[in-house]
Amino acid sequence: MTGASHALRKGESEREKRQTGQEGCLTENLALAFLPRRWSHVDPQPLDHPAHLEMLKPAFELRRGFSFENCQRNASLERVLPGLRIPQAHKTGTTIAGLVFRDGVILGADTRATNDSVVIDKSCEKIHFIAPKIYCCGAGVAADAEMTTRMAASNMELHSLSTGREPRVATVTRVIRQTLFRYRGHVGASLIVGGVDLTGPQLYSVHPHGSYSRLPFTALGSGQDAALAVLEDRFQPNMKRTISAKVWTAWRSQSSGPFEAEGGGNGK
Amino acid sequence: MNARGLGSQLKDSIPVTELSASGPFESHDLLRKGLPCVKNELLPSHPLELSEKNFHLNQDKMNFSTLRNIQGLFAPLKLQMEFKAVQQVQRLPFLPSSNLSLDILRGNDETIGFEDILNDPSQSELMGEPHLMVEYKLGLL
Repeated sequence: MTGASHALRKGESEREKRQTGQEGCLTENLALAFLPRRWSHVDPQPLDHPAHLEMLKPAFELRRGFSFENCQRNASLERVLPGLRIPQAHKTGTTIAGLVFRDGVILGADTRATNDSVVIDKSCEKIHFIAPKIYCCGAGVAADAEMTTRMAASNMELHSLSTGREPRVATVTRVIRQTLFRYRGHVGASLIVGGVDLTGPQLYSVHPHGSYSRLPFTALGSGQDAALAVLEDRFQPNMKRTISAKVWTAWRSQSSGPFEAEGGGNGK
Repeated sequence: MNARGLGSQLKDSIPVTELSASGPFESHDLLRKGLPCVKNELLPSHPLELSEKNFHLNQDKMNFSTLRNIQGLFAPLKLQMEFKAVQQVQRLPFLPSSNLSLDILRGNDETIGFEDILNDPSQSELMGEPHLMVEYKLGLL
């Protein structure tokens, strides 16, 4: 309360001085010119405070996008309180895989979401829609994969409305990997993008730092070794749909978690 | 510590001390920032902080220099002139401007990024003091 009245008194005296035409006192209130008005009891600083000189710049710029305000606070909290359990980003604990067959692409993922060793969700959806004939599986940090695929889906929809053409798998991959590269791997999303466009069926795997490869079959996630073992054993290029489905069931039987599979292709 | 390496990581702007503390002799917010430390004010708090702050600037520089090499000097000059012309139309200094024409020129009206979802300036809880900001802009202060 005393702070508020203090500010008011100073403001009043300042207005009087301004009317009398004295310039020197105006610098006192310049400190408030670009200060965000958080609380009413903000006190103006004495005239020779060094912060005044910085305040004369429009220092308060509204920043869009990510804000790094709390990073130092979090780092010092971690340092000072060793017993503190900082909330971690949930990883998906996933196996995702995809393969290309003659007429299209098959993508598969398990539906288990874990928190370390406890199963949280038994029917979590990991195959995300991007375009009518393009789907994307996400592994890595769950939230990052989800947001990246959702933004990619929105951007592809806008892009296809703007160009008037159907979206291509290579475009989706490029949009995703440019976003991931911009954040230097801090957005921890590993994705398998697969779909059919006018150039045929394609399958790409994208890693969190922004690298990608175009492959006939691939697997990502914590269970990728087992999945890759089965796929390497049984994959043939240019398979028919029935045979590739058998490869798929072989993979399913190998792993322990519940499954879902999407088939992409001309006859989807 | 390698002083030369650190120099490239320093924040560009002079750190601004917040005057949000309640007493007349306090200028450092102990509860929110911890003990005062010069290193915290000069070095970035996250590896992405500086690159994100300058992202659009650097991207523009790269695009304009490529354009200059391919199409000559006038192409980037004309684009920059259009950008500057379109940035003249703004709302009052304390209100957020929509920058619609600038978005159209940059192509942001057809893309969605983290800038549109997080920290939207039109939904900011903070605002500068209106009278003083306008007077500063008009040069009356």
